[in-house]
Parts: sequence; C-alpha cells; structure tokens
Amino acid sequence: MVKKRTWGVVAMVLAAAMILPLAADARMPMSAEEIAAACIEEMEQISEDTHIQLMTVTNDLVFELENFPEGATIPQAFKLTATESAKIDKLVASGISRIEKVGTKCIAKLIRMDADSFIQGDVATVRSESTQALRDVQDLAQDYGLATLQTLIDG
Amino acid sequence: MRSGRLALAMAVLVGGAAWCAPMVWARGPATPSEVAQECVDDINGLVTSAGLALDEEVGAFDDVLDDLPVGTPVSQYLKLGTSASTRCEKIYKQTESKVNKLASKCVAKLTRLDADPSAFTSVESARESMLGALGTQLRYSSYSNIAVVIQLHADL
Repeated sequence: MVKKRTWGVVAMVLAAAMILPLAADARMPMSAEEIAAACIEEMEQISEDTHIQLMTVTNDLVFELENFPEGATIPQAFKLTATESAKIDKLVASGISRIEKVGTKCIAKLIRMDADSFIQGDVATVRSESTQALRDVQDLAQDYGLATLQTLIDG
Repeated sequence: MRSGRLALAMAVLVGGAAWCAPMVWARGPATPSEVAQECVDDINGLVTSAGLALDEEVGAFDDVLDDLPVGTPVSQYLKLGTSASTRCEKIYKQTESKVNKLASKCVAKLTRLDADPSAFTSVESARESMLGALGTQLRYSSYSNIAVVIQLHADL
C-alpha cells in the first residue's frame, strides 16, 4: 500500500517536472521584436478602425447634404455640416491619442529592455505615419463635406 | 403808431397766406402713380439696406475667422458659419416681412384711391423683383461666400 502511494507521488512529481518547463517556456517574456510587432499591429488596427469610422461619418454627411429636404434652410445645412465635422475632429483626435499612447508606452518599454534603436525607430515611425495618415484623412473628409455644402448652396 | 403796427401785422398775415397757398396746393393729395412710386422707392430703400447689411455680415465673419489661430478645427469655423448664415437669413426674413407689410399698405392705399391697375402692378413687380434679388444675394453671395471663407481658412 505504502509502495503504491510512493510510486504515485513519484509519478506525479515526474509528470509535473515534464509539464512545468513547457508552461514556463510558453510564459517566457516576449522579445523586443515581438513587443514592437504587437505594438505596431495595435496602432495599425486603431488607425484602420478610425479610417472606417471616418468614412462612415463622411459618407453619411454627404448623403444627408445630397438629399437635403426641400423646405430646409441653408443655415440648417451649415449646422449639419458643423455637427458632423465636429464628429470627424473628435474621431481623429481620439484615434491619434490612442495611437500615441500605445506607441509611447511601447517605446518606453523597449527602452527599459535596452532594445536596439532600430526597433524603437520602427515603432516611432509607425506611430508618426499612422497619426499623419489620420490627419490627412481628416482634411480630405472636411474638404469633401465643405465641397458638398458648397454644391448644395450653389444649387 | 398803433395803427401802423396793425397795418404791418395785417400785411404780414396777408402776405404769408398768399405765399403759403401755392405750397398747400402743391402738397395736395398725392396721385395714385405718386403713391405707387413712393412705395417702390421705400421698397428699394429697404432692400438696399438689407443688401448692405448682408455684405457687412460676411465681411465681419471673414474678420472673425482671420482672428482665429491657424489650425483651428474646421468644425469651429463651421459653427461660426452657422451663426453667420443664421444672421443673414434673419436679415432677409425681416426685410421680406417689412417689404410685404409696406406693399400691403400701398395696395390698400391705391385701392382707396381707386388707382389704375398699372399702379398696383408697379408695386407688386417691385416687391417681387427686389425680394428676388435679395434672395439671390443671400444664397449665391452671402451663404456662398461664408462657405468659401471657411474653405480658405481650412486650407491654411
């Protein structure tokens, strides 16, 4: 009876000894490259999501202006454009803020890890390109809205 | 002495009366065509003032945007544009109301004077054409220029 128990304990210890290193391996800290790749992916995802939201708001505004009710006044069209334009500004500001937060945190982490400067540079580049891309799309969206408003005014 | 003064007073009275009589006669009741012309002139005056007020609104709007720092969000320009266009609309609406009221009064007066149809037509056509011109100025000049000013500042 005692021998059986002993063998059972030994078997469990052996099994644990085999499994634990695998689990420990899975939980190994990420490399600098992996951290940078994850950050870049997150920033690109935020940028893409914001782009989609911007397109939706802009298309909705253009659709509403193109189908502006007959009896509605031009000041109402200005108001509508102002409201939607504020949404565009808010979306872009939020997207840029999130991207900068992710990028800045990531770079700080990479600095703490003493990662190669080119890895930090990659993250910084994606951060600045993503925010600039959002600003460019913001300008395009505002221009598109204003041009549609002008077309509505000019009849 | 006293009779001299009396004679002088009499002379002044008679002279004054003689001088005033043609003036009173000249200011006698206006003819229907004069009434109609006066109405047209009044409508013209109202519409001209409104046109100037619209131009002033757009100019003031341009000045306000000039004073804002470069990089101000477009939505902010549009918000101010909404207020400016609303003020322009108010100028038009108020003028439209005044012109319509004035034209109605004129028509009533011409009716009492049993005026010729041409007198009514001149007032009505002045009302229509001047309000039409003001409406055109509102849309294609005021509103359009507000949008252009916004666009120009957004591109800076």
